[in-house]
Amino acid sequence: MKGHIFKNLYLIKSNLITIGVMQLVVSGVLILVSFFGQNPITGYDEGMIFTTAALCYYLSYFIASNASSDMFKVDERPGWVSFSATTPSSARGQVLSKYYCKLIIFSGVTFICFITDLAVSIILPGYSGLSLLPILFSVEIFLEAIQIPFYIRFGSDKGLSIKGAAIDILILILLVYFLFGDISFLLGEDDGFAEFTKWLGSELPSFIISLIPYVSLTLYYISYRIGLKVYRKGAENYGE
Amino acid sequence: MENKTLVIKRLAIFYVIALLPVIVTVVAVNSACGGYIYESSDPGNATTAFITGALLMLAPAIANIVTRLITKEGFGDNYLGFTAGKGNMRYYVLSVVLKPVEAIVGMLLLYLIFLNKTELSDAVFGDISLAAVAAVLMQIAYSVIVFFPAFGEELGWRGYMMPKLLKIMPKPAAIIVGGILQGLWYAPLTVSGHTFGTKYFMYPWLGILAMCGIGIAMNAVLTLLTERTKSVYPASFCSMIGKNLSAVVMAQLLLAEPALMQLMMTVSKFDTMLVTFLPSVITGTVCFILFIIKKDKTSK
Repeated sequence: MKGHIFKNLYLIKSNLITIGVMQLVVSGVLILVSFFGQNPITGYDEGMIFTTAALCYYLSYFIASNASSDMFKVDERPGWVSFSATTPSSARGQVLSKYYCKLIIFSGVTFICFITDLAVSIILPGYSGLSLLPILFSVEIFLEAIQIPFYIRFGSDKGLSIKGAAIDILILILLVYFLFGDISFLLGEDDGFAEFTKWLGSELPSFIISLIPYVSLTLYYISYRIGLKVYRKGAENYGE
Repeated sequence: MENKTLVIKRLAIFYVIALLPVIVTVVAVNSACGGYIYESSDPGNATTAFITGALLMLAPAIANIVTRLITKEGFGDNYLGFTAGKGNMRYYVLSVVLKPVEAIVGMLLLYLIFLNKTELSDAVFGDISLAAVAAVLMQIAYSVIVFFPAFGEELGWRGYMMPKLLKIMPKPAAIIVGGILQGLWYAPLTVSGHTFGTKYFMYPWLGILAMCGIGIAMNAVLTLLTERTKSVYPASFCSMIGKNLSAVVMAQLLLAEPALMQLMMTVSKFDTMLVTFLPSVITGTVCFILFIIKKDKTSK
């Protein structure tokens, strides 16, 4: 298993460097915003900095997710599938290592975001965006749980297309909602961020949000079992 | 078989490297804040206290790496493999379940000892709602953040120190010595008011002694998890949940406001912490015995 994980990470080492560099850029942006975004009289805008942090952290996970998807591509070379099936860990190790690698990469991203948040909280005493990290981590795990079986079954290119189509549909639904749905919470005279956080803190939304990490982890495991089932079928079509 | 003197030398180097940053940082932070950092009520100092604690927990992991480099020992036996499988899955499950159970028992002990004049329905279950359940679930999920400090500690203590101690002394002695070493490592933080505050009898000696006792109990549990699975991850999971979901946090999440206020106003931080650590001491003792029994079986 260790060998598979090292192999996966080694083959995407340039992508890992890219993820690292992008992480530094995103962290740098957040630190700069927190440093220069303060009003000398009123201090910092909590809503603004929290939203910026959420966007920056999500961007970090998003970049890591996309850049690490190449680890599926390198396994689609002719001959590799047959070879990997003869290794002691066989197809199971092959699939499991992908899931472990994604977790390792996201853990790394979480660590950098953790350090960034500590740095921001030094600049802005009283601020903490650490509560964002478990949720964003869970959301990313949730998305990976859905897309990895597609990568395995249809190959990385087709898998990526399916992912793109899913995102397009999601954006379309959001657009339709913003065109025809109730968006009074965005147009109200009150502070939108305060309203939104108040709504999030109410009983049912907070309960649903608290379930996200557990649902994501369960789904990630189920995704692994599905990935294992569709691996052989997918391997037959690699390179076509 | 490694030379005993060589192992002791490596252990000494490791411990000095792990301890030095703690002493230097705590002294520097206390001087900068003009007092004990964990006793300060300034929000800015509270942030500094959190950051100091979180970053110092990485010191044992750094000491592990630096010692291996200095002594040219290499990076074998690093306990970094994720070994979850059919044989040891129960230890991984135990590592996740143990601390929440201890926290609930600890909270009930707080009620039985300090709030026994208040009706149970008024105190413990005063505010059980979806929001309260959500708060507990989120608190467990926040453990993801505490994973890094916890992993930092475990990679040092359980991933380096304990295997070395187990090589040079019997298992029970190794658990006790390891726990004391860990408790003493916390001494600069304990003196600054971390865990117990500063207002208690025989400050800071009793606090340091209590940390050594807790260290032994925790060491028994965490070493059992590490040695059975040959991986530091179960101990890290257990430690991260333990750091994030103590009985005090559980009480803050689930106790009704008046009961919580009564607890905070009438009971010292030291007494509260001692009571909440009782379940950990019990599980530590059980794990200690399990560890010895297993040893006897294998030696036979």
